[in-house]
Amino acid sequence: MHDTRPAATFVSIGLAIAAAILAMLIALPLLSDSPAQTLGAFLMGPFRNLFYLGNFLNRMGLYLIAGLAMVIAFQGGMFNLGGEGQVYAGALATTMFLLSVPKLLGIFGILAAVLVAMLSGALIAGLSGFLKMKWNTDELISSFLLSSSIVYTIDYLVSGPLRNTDSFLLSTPEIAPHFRLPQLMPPSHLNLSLMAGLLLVGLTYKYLFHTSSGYELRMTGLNREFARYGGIPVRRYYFIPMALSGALYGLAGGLYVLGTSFATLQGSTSGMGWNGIAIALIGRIHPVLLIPASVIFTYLESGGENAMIYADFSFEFGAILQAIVLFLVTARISIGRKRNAALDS
Amino acid sequence: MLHSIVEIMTPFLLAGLGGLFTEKAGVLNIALEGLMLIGAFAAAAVAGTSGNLWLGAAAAVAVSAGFAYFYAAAALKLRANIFIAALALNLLAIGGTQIASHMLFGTKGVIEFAAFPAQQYFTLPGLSSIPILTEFFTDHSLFVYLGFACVPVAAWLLHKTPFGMYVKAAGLNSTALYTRGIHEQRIKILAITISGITSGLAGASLAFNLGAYVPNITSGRGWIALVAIFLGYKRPYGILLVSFLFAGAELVAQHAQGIAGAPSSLLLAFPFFITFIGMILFSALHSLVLRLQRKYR
Repeated sequence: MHDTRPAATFVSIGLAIAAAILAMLIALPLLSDSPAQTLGAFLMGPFRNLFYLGNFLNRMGLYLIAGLAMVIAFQGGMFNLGGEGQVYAGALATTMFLLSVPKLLGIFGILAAVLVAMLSGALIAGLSGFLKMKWNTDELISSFLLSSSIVYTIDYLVSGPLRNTDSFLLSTPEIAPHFRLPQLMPPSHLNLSLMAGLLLVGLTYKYLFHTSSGYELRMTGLNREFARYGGIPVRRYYFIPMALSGALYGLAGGLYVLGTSFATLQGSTSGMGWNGIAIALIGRIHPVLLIPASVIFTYLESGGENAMIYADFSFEFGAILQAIVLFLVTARISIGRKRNAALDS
Repeated sequence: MLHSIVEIMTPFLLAGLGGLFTEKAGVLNIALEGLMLIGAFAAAAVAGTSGNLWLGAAAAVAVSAGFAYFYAAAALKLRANIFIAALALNLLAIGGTQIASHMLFGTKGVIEFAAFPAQQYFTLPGLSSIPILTEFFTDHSLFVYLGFACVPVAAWLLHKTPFGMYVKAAGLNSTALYTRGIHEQRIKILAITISGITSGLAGASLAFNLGAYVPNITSGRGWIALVAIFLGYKRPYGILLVSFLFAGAELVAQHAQGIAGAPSSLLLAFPFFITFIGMILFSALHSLVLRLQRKYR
């Protein structure tokens, strides 16, 4: 169960982050012909000018929401490995919805699109939760399988039937300007979705720690048997954390379209699902701690991507960073899942 | 038809049988996919450059088993969450093979080797002359026969040897192990390492069949193998049957592409989707059986 010594876990998380930075400080110069420039780009990347800073904050806001999605799942003792598909589905649902409604709707169109995004994510993840509740289907595997099939299906749709043939990109048509979130720091992508992320931190905190449903969710996550004994209807907490988690993932995808990409590009949201897991774990599965966690993670990721400009080739930097962080960060943290209890003895 | 199904099922079978040991030891091993990918890359890289398939297969086994051991030991000793560590391994496999591919061969795409030796195909005398089994034992690579051979071996190891008992005890009742003076952790690490060995072989079989390395060559096969363990009722012969069924489904999908003109990019979704459906059907059936058992006992 949760480690009761916060100091020890903060040390371990600190060590994990330090190790991740160290690994990159060693690796990046090796991959590049100009180590000094590469290092500079890595460390100073996001703060070079307002454009980079704006994009940094924008990405951080979206990651914050993805992280919250995993916080709710983990707090409820559920593993949602389907974030990738849920984000992508939220993005596509938002795009298709806004392409099919009249532009006159304006702000109401945006609000409805947000609901559509959340609903699409919630349906996908909720299905895994429902199957767990109904037939004890392992949600970890089922959410991943469903999400992967969705990712490939959307890849196909965006490159085929739904593709905007006027564009060279593998992308749907763009949504009307009326439906785009106001940009706060042009030309960077910073927009209202950062505020949405911060607001959701508060809402999630409120839900988890100041509502009875949130309390029941956390108790079920900590110890399902104990919660059942205490009269909590634990079966529905297979479904609720998954559906909420999916809703937040879907929202992250929807906001990405509304404020940043204005269309669904093939693979554009890829990585956001895994990043949500990494950030939730850095943030000790606590909504408020997600803010520093998402700053750290986004800093590392965008720094690494910046450095890549000077390296002589580019690669899936995000995947490597996720791997390093995930490997190191959970040492001594465990998440309420039964199989794990045995490992903690 | 049957012949191709047998070829397609081999990676599922090999990885599934290794994964069975970790499953029995009480660890859901979601790293099969990553281990298989690492194995496929190592197999292609070594066989392609050395021109020796045996070396390639040995490299695949060594590298996959090494990574499996590393992730298991790291997760269990540091008390990290084993799922998260496995997830990390899967992500590392994707990014790491890309980097290694670029650094060693200068490309992130398909690697074709001039020196890649052709695989030999064998026909088992005797077994191949039994009418129904002909297609199972005619003109297959060694991996196919290795897969078949592993089924009784896995059953024997699990059910007839002390080691198998320890593995099952690690999953069911670790106190029992403790009282016998056996480290539960060590058994779990060993079980995960076994899954690394067989996943490495599964990866090698994929690479050798193509005679090249293709990025994301595994495309979800590790996950199929994982689900096959559940659907096979966590029994070696069950895994054999389910691997066969999944391979049949995949072959049908490939044919559907040819006949109905289904786009090939959509086909990538198919293995995941069919496994998802299979998993739902299985768990629905399983819970029905449990309910009936309770009712009529």
